[in-house]
Amino acid sequence: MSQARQPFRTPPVPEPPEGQIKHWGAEFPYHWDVDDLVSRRELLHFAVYTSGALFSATAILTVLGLVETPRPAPTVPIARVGQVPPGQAFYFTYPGPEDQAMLLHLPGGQFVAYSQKCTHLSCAVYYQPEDARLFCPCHEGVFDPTTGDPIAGPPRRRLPRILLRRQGDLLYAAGWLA
Amino acid sequence: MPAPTADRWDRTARPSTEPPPVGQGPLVTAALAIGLLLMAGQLWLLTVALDRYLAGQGGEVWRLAVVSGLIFLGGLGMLWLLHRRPRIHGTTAQ
Repeated sequence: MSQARQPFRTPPVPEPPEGQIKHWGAEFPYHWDVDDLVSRRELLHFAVYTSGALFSATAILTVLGLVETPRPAPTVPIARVGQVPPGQAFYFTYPGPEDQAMLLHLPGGQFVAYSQKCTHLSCAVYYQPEDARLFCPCHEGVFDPTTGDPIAGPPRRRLPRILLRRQGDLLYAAGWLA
Repeated sequence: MPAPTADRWDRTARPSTEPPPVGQGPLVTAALAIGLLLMAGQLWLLTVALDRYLAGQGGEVWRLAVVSGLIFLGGLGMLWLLHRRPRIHGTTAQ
């Protein structure tokens, strides 16, 4: 003989004694009907405080921009002209040993050099001569190899361009182009 | 246990049922709407400033900071205007 299945019922919660209510009420002293109430004036105060925080962040960026002094860009030899055939890229470091850069020999015969750091989230950018583009594989950002301008994907700023100088057969990196 | 204070930040107090002064309600609403719009503008200014800074043109950011600061000062002025209690001069019957 099987018993009939009874529905589950939550056992009744006994009313706590008066002293216990006072105890948790002292630790969490929020009255229920003011818990969710935010008046327009309070919201206005909050908006002004947020406005102050946004101004502070902009001011901090201003100070950082004024304090930061541009690093002197050295003039260093990169490669010989014959070392980079037309439509090919040569990867090097500039200005520091950890700053990746690339020298492009465009099909028209022009040499250009850029920082290899994507202006979106600093991934490495590669030259794809078959598509005539500079490609960032992280988020599929695309740059124009002739100018360094962003033409597709999330990047909004152009790649920093390196000033090139040629002495005989040798190409030099000589700073940044504004 | 200390007696609860009656200041405006006391969260244990019940909400006041006292109505705002006549004409203040719409003023607060208008101030709030304008303030939120200007705050959105400040957020946009901050994104432009960050973009300029990351592009290495941090020297140009001060103009954006000035505009953002003016908006903040405007907000403070708005709070001051709403907090003051103007004295109303009535005319006396002769």
